[in-house]
Amino acid sequence: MATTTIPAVSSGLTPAKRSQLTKYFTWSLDHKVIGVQYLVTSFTFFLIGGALAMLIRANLLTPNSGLFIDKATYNAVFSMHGTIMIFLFVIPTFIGFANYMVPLLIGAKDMAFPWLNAFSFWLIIPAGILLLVGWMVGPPEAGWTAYFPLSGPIYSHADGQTLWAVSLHLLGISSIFGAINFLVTVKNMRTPGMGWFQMPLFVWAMFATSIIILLATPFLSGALTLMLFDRLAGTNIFNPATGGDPLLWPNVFWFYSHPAVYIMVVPGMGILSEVLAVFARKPVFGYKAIAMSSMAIAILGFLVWGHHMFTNLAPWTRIPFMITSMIIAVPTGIKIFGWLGTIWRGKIRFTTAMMFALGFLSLFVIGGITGVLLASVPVDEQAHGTYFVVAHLHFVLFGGSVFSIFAGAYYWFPKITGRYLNERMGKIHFWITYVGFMLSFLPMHISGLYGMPRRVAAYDPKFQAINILTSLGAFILGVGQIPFYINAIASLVGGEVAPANPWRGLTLEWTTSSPPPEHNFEGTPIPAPDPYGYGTPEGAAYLAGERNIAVMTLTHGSAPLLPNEQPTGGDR
Amino acid sequence: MDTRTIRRLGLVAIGLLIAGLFVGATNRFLPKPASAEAQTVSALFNFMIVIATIIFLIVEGALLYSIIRFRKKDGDETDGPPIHGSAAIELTWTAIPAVIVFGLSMYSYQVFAGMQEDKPNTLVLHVRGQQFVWSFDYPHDPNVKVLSSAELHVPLNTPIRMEIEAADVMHGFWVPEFGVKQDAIPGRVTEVRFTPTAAGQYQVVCYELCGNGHGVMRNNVVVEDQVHYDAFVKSLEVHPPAKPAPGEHTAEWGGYVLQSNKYGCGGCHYLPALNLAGQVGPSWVGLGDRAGARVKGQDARTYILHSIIYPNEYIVSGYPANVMPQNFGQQMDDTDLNSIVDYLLAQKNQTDTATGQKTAQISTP
Repeated sequence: MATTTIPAVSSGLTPAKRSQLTKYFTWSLDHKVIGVQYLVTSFTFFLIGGALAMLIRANLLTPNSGLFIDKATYNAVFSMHGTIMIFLFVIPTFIGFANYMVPLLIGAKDMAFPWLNAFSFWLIIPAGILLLVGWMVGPPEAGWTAYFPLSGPIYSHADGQTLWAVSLHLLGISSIFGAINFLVTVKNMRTPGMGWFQMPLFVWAMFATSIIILLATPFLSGALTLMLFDRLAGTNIFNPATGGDPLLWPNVFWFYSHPAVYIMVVPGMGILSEVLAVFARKPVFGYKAIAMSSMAIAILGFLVWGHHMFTNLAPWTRIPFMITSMIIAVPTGIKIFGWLGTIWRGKIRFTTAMMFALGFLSLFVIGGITGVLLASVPVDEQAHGTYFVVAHLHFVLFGGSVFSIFAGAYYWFPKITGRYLNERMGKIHFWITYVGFMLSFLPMHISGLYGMPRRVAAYDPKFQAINILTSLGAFILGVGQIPFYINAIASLVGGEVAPANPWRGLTLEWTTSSPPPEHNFEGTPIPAPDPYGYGTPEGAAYLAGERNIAVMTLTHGSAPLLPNEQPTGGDR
Repeated sequence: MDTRTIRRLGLVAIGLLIAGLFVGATNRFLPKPASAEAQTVSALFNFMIVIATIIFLIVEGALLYSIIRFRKKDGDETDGPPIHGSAAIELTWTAIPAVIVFGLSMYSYQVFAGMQEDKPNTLVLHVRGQQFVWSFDYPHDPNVKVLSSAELHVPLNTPIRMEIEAADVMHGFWVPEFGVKQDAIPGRVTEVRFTPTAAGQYQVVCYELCGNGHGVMRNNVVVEDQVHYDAFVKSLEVHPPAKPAPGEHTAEWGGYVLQSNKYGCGGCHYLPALNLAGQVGPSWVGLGDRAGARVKGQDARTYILHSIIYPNEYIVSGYPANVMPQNFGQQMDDTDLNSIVDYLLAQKNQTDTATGQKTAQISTP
């Protein structure tokens, strides 16, 4: 006994507190613990991916490579940057938020399959390690898209490329298990009184995202399996010299990877709907249209992969992909206009979460507009494979996804930890990020259209000025993330204590304590009749704690009660 | 809506239209078009920029207006009005974008169809991409041997159909001022069409990641009148020396192989005597003088031979490893290989004509 109590005393931790901390390093079935595990892991990878971005930008300060790293290392650095940011930061961060929040938002006690949930997370760790080990055996140098024949055994003979494929395989399996779990949880475990159209929009977004993951990710797995056959078993599936076809790879890869763009942005759109309504103190404008546009994007997203191949598909096959890609602008527009309608005539509270949400809106619209330009086949013939595309994808994935991640982080941190993130530091974080982002990615549009290809270690000296500007922006952006990490750690230890409902939100996560107890709710939670009923008497009554009034109005609602099951725990 | 609101909305609409047209007409987002295709693409692009500007201003304007106008007043802790939506407004902002993208698709299709059309008197040229150079072939009298060129020459105002091949990995053929792109795909012949309309010098740039030297895979393009073009193609004609018998090799044959750009060496290496203008790898000027002194205990011949077959074995300082392909040992037949070495060994006592820094660096290794 003595051996266990002495170190606990000396480090100032009681055994109870210690077990609070150690549970995050163990196999836990609690969705809240798993959510935090996801978030801490992914934000660690954000640091690694970000450091690689700094290295890329440092190297591009001069037109001839070699300032810091040679050309081969440069290719490895941007390949790793893309892979880490997509597969080990953005996707797992949203899964982390969803893990923590979806059961709370629908009034469930846990996910439908807690064991599978833990398994999904613990696949991330070996996958991340395998990817990073690639550095020691010759890193992948073929970009995150890994086109053949460059990524094949002849031109990428180092084992890092193989490890890359194995790592992504594991991450794909993790995603698929996660998607099944979310679909079943949302379908079956909503609390009584929560019909489909009483679901918070983040839940709708995760439902749509899970459909995309479930249907698209098997294609990534298939493509990676074929890659491993070619690399390890001596097949020639992608090798044109012996009858294979290198174009098979981009077709299958983009059949996953374009929907993956929506896997990375639809959850962020869900977070945006939550944050904008709460801090504008107004209902979401056109709730059903926003919910259904997520579903429309999920389905349409499967019909547009060819726009990544406008320069190699047979010319006439490019046209249908142009039309479907253009159509995606319509549901995206519905969301953007709906969000504007939400804040219009609201009473806007400028919290850090709200500022990141408004920042998302201002940047995402630029990414959307450049997306329509890229969807046009003739315009794409100018922009394809250049810095214009780099700018576009960062406006969507940084201006969109990452800004919504930060909005979610500032919004839900009090719920997850019981303490607020420091708002002053948060605003410093926001402004440095916003200015750095603009300086970094806006000029790239021009260098791209004027002839600077992406993924180059050396470039025409006429682009040096624009690259120096971009690099300065990137360094500001990089430094700007440090306040967030300091804030998170400092607030965790000594931040202002948050009540159960710090933002006066109507969704169910705010009806339980911060952080929530082990089984989330005392008793069965009763949802507000309208998750965004701000300004309505029912909403005010619900916030005042008069849940019975909420129940009464519920009977007037249009949606019938669903025979939802509560978790029985049988899966454990 | 009262008349004042309608008048205000009307003014905003006119302002937006003027702003859109202004940006559409004056923007310099694209390089100056140098081909018929680039001109039609520019027109399409500028039309899209008009619409993009208007949408951008509407969204950012509404956002900024809301941020200023609808911020919470001090002391006001109440909620906003419970507006849940409006079927008419939602339908409007669904229908208008739908109509816009429909129109843009039609216009884009028209432009694209025009670019794909067969035009009379089309000149067919051929390009081959390999790590990390382009080489170009021109139609010629089949009885005359004609070299490939590392620089693309095209006649002004002549429709060109470029047949594109890739020797190793995927590459991308792009001349930014021509406004057209097409991947070079191993195992396939793809094509791209353009009609150059402005004389001058441009660059063909590789935009598809192809390995370590991807960023330096840029060759010159010259658009010139028919007379100069014909003269250029004529200058590529050669009367080859006899190929040495198997097992034998001559410097003469080596020079011919290098000049004919059979292995793309001139894309990276510099040797004015053969019109090789590459700037990526070490210069060959006076190579015979210093090759023997580069590695202790190794004669000049072995040094050059090894440098071709195992390019990473000796890296000249200032140049990165892994740029030169490592498969020349398999690609070249023995006669070619040894003849090239013969030729390079003979590069002695040359006056350094290059003004480039690299050459100067190399002559004093």
